[in-house]
Amino acid sequence: MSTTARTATPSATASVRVEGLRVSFRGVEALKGLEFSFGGPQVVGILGPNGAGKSTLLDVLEGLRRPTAGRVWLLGQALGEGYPRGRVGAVLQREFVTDRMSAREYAALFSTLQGVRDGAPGILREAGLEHRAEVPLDRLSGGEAQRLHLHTALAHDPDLLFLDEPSAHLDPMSRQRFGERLKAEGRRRTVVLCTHDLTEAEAVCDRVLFLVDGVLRREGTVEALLEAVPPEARHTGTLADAFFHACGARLTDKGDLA
Amino acid sequence: MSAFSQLFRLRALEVLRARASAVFFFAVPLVLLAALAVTFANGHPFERRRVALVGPVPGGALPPEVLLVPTRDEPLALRWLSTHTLDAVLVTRGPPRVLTGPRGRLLGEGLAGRVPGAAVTTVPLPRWGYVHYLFPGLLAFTVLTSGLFGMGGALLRDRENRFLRKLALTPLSRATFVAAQGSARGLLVLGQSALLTAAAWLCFALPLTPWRALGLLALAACGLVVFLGLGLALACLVRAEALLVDAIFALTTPMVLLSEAFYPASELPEPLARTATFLPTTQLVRLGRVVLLDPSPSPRELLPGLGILVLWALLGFALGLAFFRWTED
Repeated sequence: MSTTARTATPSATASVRVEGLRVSFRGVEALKGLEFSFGGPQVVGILGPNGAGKSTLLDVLEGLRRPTAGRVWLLGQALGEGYPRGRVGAVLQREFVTDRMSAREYAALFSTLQGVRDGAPGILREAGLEHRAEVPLDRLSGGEAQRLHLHTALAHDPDLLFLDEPSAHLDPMSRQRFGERLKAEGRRRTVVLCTHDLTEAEAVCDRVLFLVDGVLRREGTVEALLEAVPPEARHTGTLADAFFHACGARLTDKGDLA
Repeated sequence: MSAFSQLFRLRALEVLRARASAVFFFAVPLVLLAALAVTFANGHPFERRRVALVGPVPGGALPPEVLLVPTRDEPLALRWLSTHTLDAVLVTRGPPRVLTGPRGRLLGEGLAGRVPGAAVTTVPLPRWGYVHYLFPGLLAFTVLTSGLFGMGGALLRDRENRFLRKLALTPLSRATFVAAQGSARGLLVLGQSALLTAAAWLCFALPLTPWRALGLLALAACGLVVFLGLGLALACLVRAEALLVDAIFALTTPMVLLSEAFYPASELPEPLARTATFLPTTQLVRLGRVVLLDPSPSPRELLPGLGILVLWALLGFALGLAFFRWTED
């Protein structure tokens, strides 16, 4: 069944392929044998409650943490034998903020590091920040900062883009625009979106993975996940039903957690 | 601009952009210089009378409060006398003579009475001679703190504010990152050392020649490499910034106390004196004194100390690069 935890058919061209992934640190097993695979232009959402292991999984996929066991391939390259840095972009959950670096310096540094010469003007133009180029990072608004981070991560035109809670500090208008931008990016590359926001995930994601307590509970398209929710667990008709069902919780008729 | 030059520029501007930080950076060593000069304006606080001996040990018994310090030749002994860290010079090579400063005349007469045929000569001593003795220690201390905090503190802050995590997502190598950090800090510290040396020369008549000034700056650069390496190692081994500060103070306190900055290690108990010889601060101070005060320094005198500094630098950078972490965990 496509909506239960499953082993995807391994594909040499998969953007992300994970087999038997386990991660333990400080005496806690954060990921307990994950198996999944996806590829091609799409937005893949990783959802789960706090402590589900989303950030740990993203750390592994971003090459910042070594698995305790299992194997991971990104864009066909096995992690441990290298990392396709030049083909991957990322926006962190808490991007670093400083009063000692301007928006232009940030864009120039990270585009240079990704091998893009003179990338700053293009990034600032795409992000609509040309008039804010000399402003220190800590004085940009949440929306401005997020646009800067996103367009800097896209400067080298990566095949795979990781986004960790990218819209957490955005106002509704900025969030709407950001979602539209993500959908557009999902038509060009594989975008992995780690989020708590079920509405955003439903609106933006082509495919969703529910991670609960380090285990992949459900995986599939939004429609398939909704179809798989048993009638007695359907309350809102949205991804929330599927999420709470995956978490082992359910909503009352009033919309409260039972 | 290349990644290196951009990181270099950012790191250098980091200090200069914040006015308070820039003033603090350049002013603190000058304040320390003034404080040390005032504190030790009356000379060295030793109880025993230190007498440089140029030539064979004299036959007559000397009083127990006199400590004979064998010294290579008379010019060197006179240079040490000028730093107020000796009370007299006893020359037994050729006709015996005793040389003292204006305040050591009485001691000189007493010594001459114990060495048959010795004549006493009083020589003028520079007002700030003891500051000249202290200066290499002050320079070493400046380089020590700049290196440890400049590399260790900055690296830990960058890790805590997730700048390193962001860099880790790019193809940047750790060696390029460390080289850019160290080079930027090095340039600032060389400017700081040059300012300190110029101030000591102008205000306290530091006995400088162009070659001695260059030698001191070269030593500052060597010392900086050592302490940047140790700062890197500490930042990679220690997790929290507050802990790093404690670790740095724990490391610097003995390094400063045993460094010969204020008194010769020979005044310390034997195990400490032996330990002190292997500390980078001690070697920096000793080499600084050779460069600044020795009338005819020979490269042979410098090589062992430079060798110890190289070993410390290798140790620091090897540990730092081996345990380098981009992320907080």
